[in-house]
Amino acid sequence: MKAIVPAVVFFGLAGLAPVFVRDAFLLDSLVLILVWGSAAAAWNVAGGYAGQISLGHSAFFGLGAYAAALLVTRWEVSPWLGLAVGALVASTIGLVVGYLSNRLRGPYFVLATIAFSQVLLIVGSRWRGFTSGSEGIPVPFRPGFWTLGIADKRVWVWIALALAILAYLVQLYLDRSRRGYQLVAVREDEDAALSLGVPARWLKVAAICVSAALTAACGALWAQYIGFVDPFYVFSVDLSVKFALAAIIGGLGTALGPFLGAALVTTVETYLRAQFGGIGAGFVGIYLILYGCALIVMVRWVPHGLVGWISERLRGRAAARTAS
Amino acid sequence: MAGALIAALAVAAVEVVGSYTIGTAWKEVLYLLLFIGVLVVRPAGLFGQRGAEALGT
Repeated sequence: MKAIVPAVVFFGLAGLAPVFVRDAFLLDSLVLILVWGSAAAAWNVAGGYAGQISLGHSAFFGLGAYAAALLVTRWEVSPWLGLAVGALVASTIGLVVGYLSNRLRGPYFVLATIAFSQVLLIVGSRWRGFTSGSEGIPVPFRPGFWTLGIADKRVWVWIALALAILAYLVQLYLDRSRRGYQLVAVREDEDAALSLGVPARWLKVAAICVSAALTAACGALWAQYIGFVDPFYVFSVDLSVKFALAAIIGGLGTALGPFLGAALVTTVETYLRAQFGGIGAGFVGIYLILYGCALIVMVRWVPHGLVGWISERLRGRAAARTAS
Repeated sequence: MAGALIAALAVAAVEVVGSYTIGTAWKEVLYLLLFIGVLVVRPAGLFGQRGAEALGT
């Protein structure tokens, strides 16, 4: 029970914020933090718990975004249905990718996932007849909850919060269940886990599937929230790195870590954009430099991420108290 | 080392022949698919030592 108190506080604050905060900019930041946090949490299911470090998760994010946007613009169905279809398509593709790349470990797996997201980027930007090519798809605004045409950012915070809590619960399940322990065993030493009868192959594939479905759901919601799908953004390696970075900064294989990491990364990114990204400022991409520096600092000095660092500090203080 | 040389020629051939027959827009897709295909069939690469991929090195 004690372990989930920080998460309850975090999600509670996020859920209550719209009641008190009226500022559109802050609410927008909060929605983005929750969406990127959910995407990082989805990445964490495959990258943190299962140890399948992927830099191609933008493929699943883009699939979700495109599924929702295309279904809405071409067949005029509800984006909620688009979200479900996107998650289904992404997890099917996750199944195929996970199965095919099952033998690959380490850098080989990373390269395969990057290649896969690049294939989708080219298909998305060149298949003009279906995806309307590199111009991207503007998502029409139709008022109503069922069509996700919601102008009120407070409602968006709660929708994003629901997704974030879902992603958190998936991770909590992995933290506490037999399946989760088996997955961690596979991550730490696949051969040892196999020799103990852990179905390593299927666990890895299942982790990638779940991760892909959650990432696609984030993509679908993001597309509806922003109102525009650009293939060069949704399938970019930058985006994959962002998911991975948020999860690594927060703490790999921890349930709350990705959300803390995303909160930090998104806040800094929005701040730098607002501060230096204006017309003629010439520092438009400065947050990317910061991503790189943050990654170096975290890997070198705080290898267990924010969650690991904080819990070490707390444990140190508790130990000092009992000693005195 | 010979592997890298031969594969470089193979990738270039796929890229050029593909862009001639299918269209220049799709040439990257072709060699990326070749890359994924090779990783699936022979994870250590065409001329790599078998089993090297399982160590992740």
